[in-house]
Amino acid sequence: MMLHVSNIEKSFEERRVLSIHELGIESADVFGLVGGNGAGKTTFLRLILDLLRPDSGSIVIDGMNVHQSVDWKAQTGSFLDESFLIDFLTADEFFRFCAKLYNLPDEDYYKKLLPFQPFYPDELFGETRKLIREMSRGNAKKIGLIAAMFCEPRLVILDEPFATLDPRSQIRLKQLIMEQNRRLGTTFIVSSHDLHHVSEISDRIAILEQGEIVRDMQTSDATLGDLRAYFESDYLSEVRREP
Amino acid sequence: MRNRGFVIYGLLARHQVLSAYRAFAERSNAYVRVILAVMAMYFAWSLAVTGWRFGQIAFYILDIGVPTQLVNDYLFAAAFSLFGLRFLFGKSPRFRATPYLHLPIRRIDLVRYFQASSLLSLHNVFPLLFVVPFWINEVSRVNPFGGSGILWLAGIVLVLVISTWLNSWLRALLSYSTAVFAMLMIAAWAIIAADQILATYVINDLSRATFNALLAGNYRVLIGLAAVAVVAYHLASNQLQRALQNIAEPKRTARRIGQQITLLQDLGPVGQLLVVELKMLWRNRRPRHNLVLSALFSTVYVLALLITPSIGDNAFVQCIVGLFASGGFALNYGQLMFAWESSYFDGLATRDITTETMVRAKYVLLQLSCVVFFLISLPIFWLVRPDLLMLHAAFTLYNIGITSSLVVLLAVYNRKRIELWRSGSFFNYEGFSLLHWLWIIPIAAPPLAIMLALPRAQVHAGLLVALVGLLGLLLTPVATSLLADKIFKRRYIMLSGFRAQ
Repeated sequence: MMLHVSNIEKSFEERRVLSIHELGIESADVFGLVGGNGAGKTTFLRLILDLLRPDSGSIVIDGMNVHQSVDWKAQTGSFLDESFLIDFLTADEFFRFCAKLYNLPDEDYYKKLLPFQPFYPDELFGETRKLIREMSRGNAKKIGLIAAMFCEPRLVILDEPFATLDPRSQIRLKQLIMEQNRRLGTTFIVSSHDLHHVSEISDRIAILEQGEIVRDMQTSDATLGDLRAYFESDYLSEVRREP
Repeated sequence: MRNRGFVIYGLLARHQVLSAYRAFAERSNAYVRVILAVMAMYFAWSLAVTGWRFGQIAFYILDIGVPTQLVNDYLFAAAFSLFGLRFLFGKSPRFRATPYLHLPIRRIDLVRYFQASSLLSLHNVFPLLFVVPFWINEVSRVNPFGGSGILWLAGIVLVLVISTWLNSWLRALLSYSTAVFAMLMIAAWAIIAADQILATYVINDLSRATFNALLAGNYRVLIGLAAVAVVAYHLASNQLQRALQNIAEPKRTARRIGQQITLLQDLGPVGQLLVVELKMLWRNRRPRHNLVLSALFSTVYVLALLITPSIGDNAFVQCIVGLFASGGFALNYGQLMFAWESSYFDGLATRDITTETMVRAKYVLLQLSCVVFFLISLPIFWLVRPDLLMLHAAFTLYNIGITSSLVVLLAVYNRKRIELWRSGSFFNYEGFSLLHWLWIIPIAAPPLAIMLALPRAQVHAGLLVALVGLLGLLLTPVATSLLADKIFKRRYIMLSGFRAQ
């Protein structure tokens, strides 16, 4: 099992924002996470990445407790938001930095990076001049997503990867995720509000509501319809509850 | 339309009051709030009493019978000093205006409002706390209240107004053209230094002539000052308007120097972190200003202290000179280590970098900076006070071995986010807390104690300071390990603090 979560709880100022009793994600799975705003998705991802201290429970990546060890970092890539970017570097400088930290041999650097060139066609890799902070938000996000994936870690964690990307880039990103998962057996954890994209790439989808997993399903042709029905009914019940 | 203008100004004023109140109320530590309030009251009271009693102070302490003449002589000099302080600590109104740019408010109204409200700064309130009691007790007693007495006070108010707007203009100028700013600064410094060194005292003469003329009821001088204030307003307003137009533009002024630092890149993860930190230093306004400020500390400030005649006997001044000459950068920049990385600390924390590697990279940077600043300030010692060269070398070792460790330790306890690009003031103290100002005490205490204990054996004192530094240097691996452990334990606190906008 790539990731195992047990009895994880997190509260902010006595307000419980996450409570997951048991969750396991198998190696080479693409795990989708959906839910409303404030449902606890980003908190959950931050807990997995040891960016937050859990109130209780444990998260284990490939046998390593993330709160006690740092060895899991060598096999994990992630992009949650712009704080994962070093925005005063150029794309090349940032990729080189990541490659060195992941001990990627120099001769493999371009070989691993080139498949991502169509995803970021604005500048040629190896000749990038723009600093990341000079890029549009969409392009800066692409740099973060590439940095999370191109060193080929065994686990990739992405928060809202499709948001702010143009339609062509969204399609390319889906292809890149599915291709990396198929070719290398990379495990992906992807949180998204885009039900269409997430149901297309995921093997399994969980719905998070008010910090708890309320549904956990294997994807099939019916998943997108089920998700839509779930969120529509939820919305209608909320509307009906209003005075 | 006129009413609408006032409504807008009223709304903006309300926001500013709320923002100031909440910034004060949200300070996490109640003790800090109390200390700040007590300090503010202490300074206000001291200034008011000094102003009220300045006649007696001038007579009994300075043996000067006409206090107004003494004040008139030094008003311009005081204004220059306050101008410098305002430049270092004052904040540009540019960022406060940003949230209103998309609203149906004319830019010119925003500019007018923020220019006017900048006059309410503490930098203007505190001088008046001295000036007004002095004016009531001394000036208006011998000069007609409604005539020349009020002219004198109006003259001082106009000088403060000019100082406020010229400061805004100068800060904006710095963000557009560092070269023009540097030239202006060098010219101003040269004039002031020449005036003192050549003993011409033109600034004092000008100050005396201006304020004596006002006391003599010369309205034309006041009109002249008002004209300068109008020019300063227009200069500052034009720059602010220009800044507000460019605020959403991508920051294309970034420096690309240092694109190839191949030597460091071959040093493994420590080298990688060093390369990123050096690029961060050079490509972002705030750390770059910090670097410039450190260089000024290690050169201009040290030179100013070294030419002070009493330094030869004063252990305290010698200690300050020794610490800042080679450790200026470590003391200024080092205290905010890790916080400089707050905008990408989440990303760093998820990468395969151990906390020990992080600390090692910090040590290399700080210790190398001590060597570099030792070499930069070496010619100053050699030319001005060659007898203190040994002290300089001893304190360099102390800074490498001890100061570096102590500032990294303080940095571990820092959890305030820093925006790298955003720089409201030249010396932006965002991220600093009271602890940062007090931290100089444990850093300076050991060498100061040594120097006070051996007042007549400067060579022995220097050797002892150097020995303490050397010991610290040899223990760097132990300190690295301890600090790395501390960071690992405090990582969630640091991460959540740096994440908070």
